[in-house]
Amino acid sequence: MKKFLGIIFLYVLQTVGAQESEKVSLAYENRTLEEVLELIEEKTDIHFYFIQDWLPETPMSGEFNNQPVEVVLSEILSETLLNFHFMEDGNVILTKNILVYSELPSEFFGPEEKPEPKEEIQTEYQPLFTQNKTANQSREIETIVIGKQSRANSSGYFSLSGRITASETGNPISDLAVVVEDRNIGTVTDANGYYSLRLPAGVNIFETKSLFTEAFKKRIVIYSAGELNIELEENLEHLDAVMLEGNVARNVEEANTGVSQINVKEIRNIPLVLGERDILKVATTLPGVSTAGEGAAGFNVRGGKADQNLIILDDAVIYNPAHFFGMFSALNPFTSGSVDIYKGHIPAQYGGRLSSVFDIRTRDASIEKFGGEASIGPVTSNLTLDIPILKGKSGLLVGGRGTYSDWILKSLEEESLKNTTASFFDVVAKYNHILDEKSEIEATGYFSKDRFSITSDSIYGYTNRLMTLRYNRNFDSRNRGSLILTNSDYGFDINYDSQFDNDFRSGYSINETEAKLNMKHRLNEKHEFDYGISSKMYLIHPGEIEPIGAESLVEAMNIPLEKGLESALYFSDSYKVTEKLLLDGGLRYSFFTGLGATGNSDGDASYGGLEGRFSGRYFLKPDLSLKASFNNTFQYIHTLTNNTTMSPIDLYKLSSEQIRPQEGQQVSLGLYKNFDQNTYEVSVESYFKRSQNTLDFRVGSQLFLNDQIENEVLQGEGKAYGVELLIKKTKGNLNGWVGYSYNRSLLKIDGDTPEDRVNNGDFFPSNIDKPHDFSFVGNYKFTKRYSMSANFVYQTGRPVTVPLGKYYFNGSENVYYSARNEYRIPDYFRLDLSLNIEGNHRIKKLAHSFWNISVYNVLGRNNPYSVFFVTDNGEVQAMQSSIFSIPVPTISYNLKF
Amino acid sequence: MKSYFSRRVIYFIGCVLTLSTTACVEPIDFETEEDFDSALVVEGSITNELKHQEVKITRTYRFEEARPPFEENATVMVTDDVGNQYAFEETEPGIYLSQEEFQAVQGRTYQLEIETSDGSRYSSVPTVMASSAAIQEVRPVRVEGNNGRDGVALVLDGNASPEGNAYYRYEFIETFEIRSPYFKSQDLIVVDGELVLIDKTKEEYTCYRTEYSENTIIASTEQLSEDKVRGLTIQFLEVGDPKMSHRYSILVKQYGLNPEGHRFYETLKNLSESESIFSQIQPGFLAGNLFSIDNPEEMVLGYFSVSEVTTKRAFFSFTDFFDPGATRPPLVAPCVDVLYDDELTRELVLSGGFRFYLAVTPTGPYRIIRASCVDCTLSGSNVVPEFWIED
Repeated sequence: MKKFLGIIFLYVLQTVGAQESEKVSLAYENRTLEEVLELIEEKTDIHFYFIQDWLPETPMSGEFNNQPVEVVLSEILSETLLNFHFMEDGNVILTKNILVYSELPSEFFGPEEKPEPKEEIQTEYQPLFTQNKTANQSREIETIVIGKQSRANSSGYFSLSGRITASETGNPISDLAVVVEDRNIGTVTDANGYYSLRLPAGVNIFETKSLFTEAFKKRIVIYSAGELNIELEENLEHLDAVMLEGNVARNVEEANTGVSQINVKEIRNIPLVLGERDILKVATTLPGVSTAGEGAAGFNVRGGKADQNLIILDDAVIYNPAHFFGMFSALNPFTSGSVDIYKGHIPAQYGGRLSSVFDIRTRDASIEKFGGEASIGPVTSNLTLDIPILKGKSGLLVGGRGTYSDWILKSLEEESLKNTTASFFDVVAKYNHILDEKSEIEATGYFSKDRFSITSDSIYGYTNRLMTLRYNRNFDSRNRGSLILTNSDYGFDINYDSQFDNDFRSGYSINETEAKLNMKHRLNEKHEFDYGISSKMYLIHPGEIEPIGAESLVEAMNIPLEKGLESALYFSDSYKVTEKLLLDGGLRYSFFTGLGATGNSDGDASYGGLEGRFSGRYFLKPDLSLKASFNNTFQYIHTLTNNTTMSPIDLYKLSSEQIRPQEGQQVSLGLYKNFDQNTYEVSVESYFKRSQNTLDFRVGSQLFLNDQIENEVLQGEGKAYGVELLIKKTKGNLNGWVGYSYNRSLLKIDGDTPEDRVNNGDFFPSNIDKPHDFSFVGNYKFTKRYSMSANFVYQTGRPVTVPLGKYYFNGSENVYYSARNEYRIPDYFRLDLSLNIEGNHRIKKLAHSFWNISVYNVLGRNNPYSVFFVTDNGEVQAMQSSIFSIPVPTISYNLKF
Repeated sequence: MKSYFSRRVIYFIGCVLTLSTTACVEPIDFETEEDFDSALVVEGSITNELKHQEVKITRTYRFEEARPPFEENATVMVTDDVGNQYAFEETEPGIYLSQEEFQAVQGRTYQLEIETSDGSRYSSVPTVMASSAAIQEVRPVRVEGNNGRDGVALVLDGNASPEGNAYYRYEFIETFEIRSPYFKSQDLIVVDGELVLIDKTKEEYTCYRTEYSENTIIASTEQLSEDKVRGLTIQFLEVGDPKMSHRYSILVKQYGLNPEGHRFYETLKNLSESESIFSQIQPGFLAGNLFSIDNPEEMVLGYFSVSEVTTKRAFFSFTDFFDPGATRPPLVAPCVDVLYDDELTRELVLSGGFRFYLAVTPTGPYRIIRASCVDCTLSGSNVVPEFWIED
């Protein structure tokens, strides 16, 4: 009975239908397929030929009443990968997958393909199907068959998903373009290397495209949803300039509006300031992201304040990602993998800030090969090591960066600089461990410290510290999840040491601990759910001061601990309504409750709200899409600052009875088009935002060490709108992008008394309202070794508040101010150039090196950073400060081994 | 060329890295916009000293102008909560003195009322007198390396306030001895067109000059364990300051402030100083305690305070801190004497800007020098102040 069939059949399926077959009646319950087939054999003359291993063990039940055998077989085999074929003698052969042509029509895959001499049918069991990379030097294209063909599934679309990893390191390859030839179907792998595509039934030529990895091209014959995991060899000898290849089709494909991604590999050649490659600096060349000026820490996204950005490094919030007042970002460029910036539609899994999310990922360490990267620049040096721990399973990435600016300062002849200090360092370590095929663990630790002095009697210091632990698990082809634990800490301290009896030390710190569960469920080809829960505990030491030395008269003071719990639940569905229309709808319910200490003058309060995150994409043409989104957000934590720009000694305060949470709403609409096989990407996006309860402060507020802060706070509303245009050229010797945006950012503070009203309670331009913002980033590769980059920025001058006039009071001239931000400092523009010289690149060289020579501010433009007014010797003088007023050349040497 | 370039770079890096307040800052020209509405400015400080109390009323002025316009012919009055009314009269443009002498009394509430010549009425919020503890000592302290500066600091130690947290504002008056760089014993005068030498009649070598504080100095005991001010630097004289070339005296006046007044002066101070080039305090309208009765939206600047005043004087001499032989920079410089013949000497002496210094022979030629180099009365007074105590 169990007849072995060892042949691969090469027949055409369609011949089956012509056969007239017997009719049969049968009923069965909880039988295996094999038992059912035996039952049919008993009742008819038909014999079945099959390979026993093919038959699933799952029990089945059914009843047929005088049905043709063909119908019965169709029914009972419908849940399997098997097809049946009636032979001339009336017996039936069961085959797995499909029967394919012995020879393909010569023009079927295009004229350039040679007909394969032999087809290989993969016979691994679905759904998990792993195609191991083989060093295939021939021009043959392998065929991979997924699912089985039936009459019902010969047309329509099936989803194909999987994970792409590097064969050498086992690390996921993110941002890899996955495209289907001639079909305008494509996607990009996510941060964990996952991709998901919808392919038309039948034959597809599946390709991955990147200059960072070897080419992968397979013929995929698909008849049901399936999974295809791929291992690729990373091409480490790539020498291309700015690489934007990874974004192929992402521009038009995604449902999100206002999302930008920067890959560290892309920014390798962008001109540097003081020798530092800076992922966040590059972010500011994108439309909609800006800083208040050189030397201003913090980012302003679409007219939002600097405290309205959720900046996370491997899921943990990094409160001050800047060194030296924003001159350098606190992120190590060698360990950073990528940053995703959500400035329009913020996916439901993120929350807690109004304007944007900067999701920064540390790259995985190599689990195969020891390696490292080092750079030496004029101000800083950096060393990063990849250390495999368990070969093929786990690796440790360690990066450290430090400055020798203190040494430079000490060696200067300038007397007034001798007693000053300015230094920083940061270290980051990430451990990644693949537990088994389905799960992995990642742990990241980060620490940064800055120290600087403005006057010789006080030293300021601030530190960021964060830790994350992340467990990723792939339950099955449909379910994936991550459990994340994070802890972040930020604090600053001030040490005052004078010659009199008032020495003190004071400080501030904020600590948050979060647990988060993110789940992904693929329901079917149309729906993909993301859902999760998170909860965050804040512990804030709002300020303390203590005397130093027995002589000091300073009174110790400690503002009671502030505590709060912020939790959220979210659910979102990515719904492919039709091939053209993709909707992404999410809801997030966030809830905050203050758990503050008693004795605080302001009481605890609870707030909560439903946040809607809706976004949609519609293909007007295969390479032209229209996207729209609506988002609303809540923010329960606020910075306290009465400076015009962000400073490292800004305080963070939780919402309370009298300080209500900030709320924001944004709508955006955009058009996205790719030209010339994704060589050019063009997008135009517009947005309109409103916000409520944004914080402002009474003139002259003292915020630090003030235990009645609520008396200084004014809450107003904000309004921002704009249009952003971005044109990218992603390939060729000349590549780069041009961005332009017109943005307005307005505020309104309308209190009860004249002092609590700013500009008569009307809308006025915020400190970061810079309507015109133009950026150009371009790279040109002369030869394999030499490339040149340029970066040009133009921005409208920032609004500043200038005096209405002067008055004489208390023995001297003073200025008085009335309307805020009615004056603008001169427009900002700057050109940077850089030249990259690669060391010679023989394949087997031990180390790979390159030199970067940059000139920042080539034009020597004296860009004012601020205008302010000081009274000196009884007279008022207007002053202008600038940070980089002359061209700054730097040279740095980078080594990769 | 090469070394020049690298020096520039190093300097520049220094500028960036030190966050110095001066290195990357430059003065610019700034002018007030065309449509400028002048606002009223009131400076009134009533104290517990029995005297003609003073209220100054001026108006705001354009940035490019040098002096404030005075508010003249206003009706000014201070009233208290027991029905006293003190009328003020204008003695100089914009300066109003009380017709009678009076002093503020502890516990009473005072209010300033102003009616300008165009009929606009203004008032202060009712204010009680803020007390001031005694100043224990003002001491000169030799300071080395204070932000890269060397010199002598005048440091104040206060007594404890009986009322808990105390807030003060300080003014000081400096009086210091100056000496003419050149000493002469004779004068050369012109009699009937002839040059005649006579013995000197006027003290022109040793004088006393007085200067008033210009910057806002305030203190609070809020964050101190005892309610007394300690180690507050009132004035800092850098090495080489001619003010301390001989003998120096300072009178410090400590005015009590209430918390609102302290906040006002503190904000005034913060708005007129720059702390760091990287972050700037958000400027805005500084509201005092005065308002317009007719139009609540009208801007009124200034402050009306009622304060108890305590004072302390301190002295020190150059030799207290420096070697007697060390350079004592003169107030007046440069001084170069020139030898002239009769005719030219006569013209220069008659012009007033130059003086005779020394006769080579009684009939000439004469040495001539800039007037202020031999006559200190051009920079101060030759009368020894009443309070002056010699070393």
